[in-house]
Amino acid sequence: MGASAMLDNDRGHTRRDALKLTGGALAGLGLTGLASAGDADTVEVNVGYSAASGERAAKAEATGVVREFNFDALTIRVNENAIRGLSKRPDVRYVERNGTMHALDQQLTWGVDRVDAEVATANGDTGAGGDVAILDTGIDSDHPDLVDNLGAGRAFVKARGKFAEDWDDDNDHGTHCAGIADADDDSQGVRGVSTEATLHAVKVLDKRGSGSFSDIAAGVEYVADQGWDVGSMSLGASSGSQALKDACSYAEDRGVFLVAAAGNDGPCGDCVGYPAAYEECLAVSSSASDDSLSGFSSTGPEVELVAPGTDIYSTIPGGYDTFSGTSMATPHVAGAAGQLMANGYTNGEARSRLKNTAEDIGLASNEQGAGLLDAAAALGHDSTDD
Amino acid sequence: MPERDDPTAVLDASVTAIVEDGDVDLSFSVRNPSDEPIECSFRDGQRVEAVAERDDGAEVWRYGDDRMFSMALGAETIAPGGETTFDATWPDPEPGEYRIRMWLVATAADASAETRVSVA
Repeated sequence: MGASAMLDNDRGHTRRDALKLTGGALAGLGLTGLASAGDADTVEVNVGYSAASGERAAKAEATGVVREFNFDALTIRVNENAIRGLSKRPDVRYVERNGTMHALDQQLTWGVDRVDAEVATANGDTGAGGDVAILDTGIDSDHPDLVDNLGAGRAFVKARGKFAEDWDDDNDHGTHCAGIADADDDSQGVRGVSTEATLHAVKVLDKRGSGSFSDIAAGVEYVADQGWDVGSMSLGASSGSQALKDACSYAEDRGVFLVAAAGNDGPCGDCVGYPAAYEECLAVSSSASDDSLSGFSSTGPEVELVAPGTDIYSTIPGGYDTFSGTSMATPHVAGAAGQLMANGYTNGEARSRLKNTAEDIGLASNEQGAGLLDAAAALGHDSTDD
Repeated sequence: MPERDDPTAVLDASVTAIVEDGDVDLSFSVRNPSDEPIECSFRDGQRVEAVAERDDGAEVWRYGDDRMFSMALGAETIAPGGETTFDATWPDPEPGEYRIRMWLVATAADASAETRVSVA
């Protein structure tokens, strides 16, 4: 589910998964998350009845009976036009669309699974005590998968619109990256690579996903001045900025682990963008679930790790969605680095450790760097049979 | 997603430039003139590029040169007859007369327009 988006993943026209579907009022449910039976006019509904005549009426309208409960209800497939009549019957207590409740079961995304983060969690590594800053479009301040991990926020570009915080996410991108790095491990939605690190929103990109060199440099400086462990930059450009490079040096000197997206100019060679190409940053390329290089991924000698980036399901404001990009690969590394630094590694030690424990997936060195991120191995756990 | 025979869809476009508080605010509108939805795909958070040129053709400013973008693939669908507007700001330009060119950076969809602006 939720993994079909290719390029079709921007705001406004993707299939999104509703955060939760409340039962009851039919009108309160959008099209999202409905279990469609294929035919556009046929929907799946749960019908509660108060008399056998209501049950018979529902079955008479049904094109298929999916389930009959031991209590007075059944799930049927029915033509949409029949719903109104059924729901008006005095012997029918309710007709509700059978929204798929998958958002309420936490799923292990292929990316988090592939880097064996769940093995690290099972061995007690959660990132607790680590501070991971997401330099991006902001983070949804009220997302149930993130709110328990949120620390401070700071906006160098203020969110446009009605938001609780000026560092709230008015795009989707930053919240998506935050969830990959560090969505909490509970019974719903998704979990991140790290699950109990503290997430900090540093909003340096605007509603459109764009930011000035100066604002991004200010964000990096801010992360350093807060003494946070990790700065995750799912952003870039083909040309650099001396001010941003200076900011990265400043942050690295103060112990910040900086990780950045290699860029989406692929297929191409020697085309890693900035700030990823700066030596202060660990550049991350992107892989797909079959361990191939993502077609869009930039490559080059600066690439140090490859991480999952194609069709990644994660948090967005008010729900979940699937995005692709080296943007998605980057926070996988940020989450793992946060765990290492929570365990006492310095930024330089974490960088070496992540590279030394990466898994060779057989790509060229300018494509995979040292290899695929292996969070479990970096944290000293055996994941060879996972 | 609708299949199109023509790999590159062409959209109508227009650009306006307004000088305000010493900046040039650009507004680039694209319109789908066809009777099919047009899907504009993007490699990253950048949607448009804009340049300012002197009359001798020398480029004095390029929007994307001063900025960075989110690195997720993106797409915007423009409905038949539908219109979408993208903004960009040229901060603090030198006084002078300029030609402004602006275009969509989508793959498989083209839209471009130009205008002139006088900065006092």
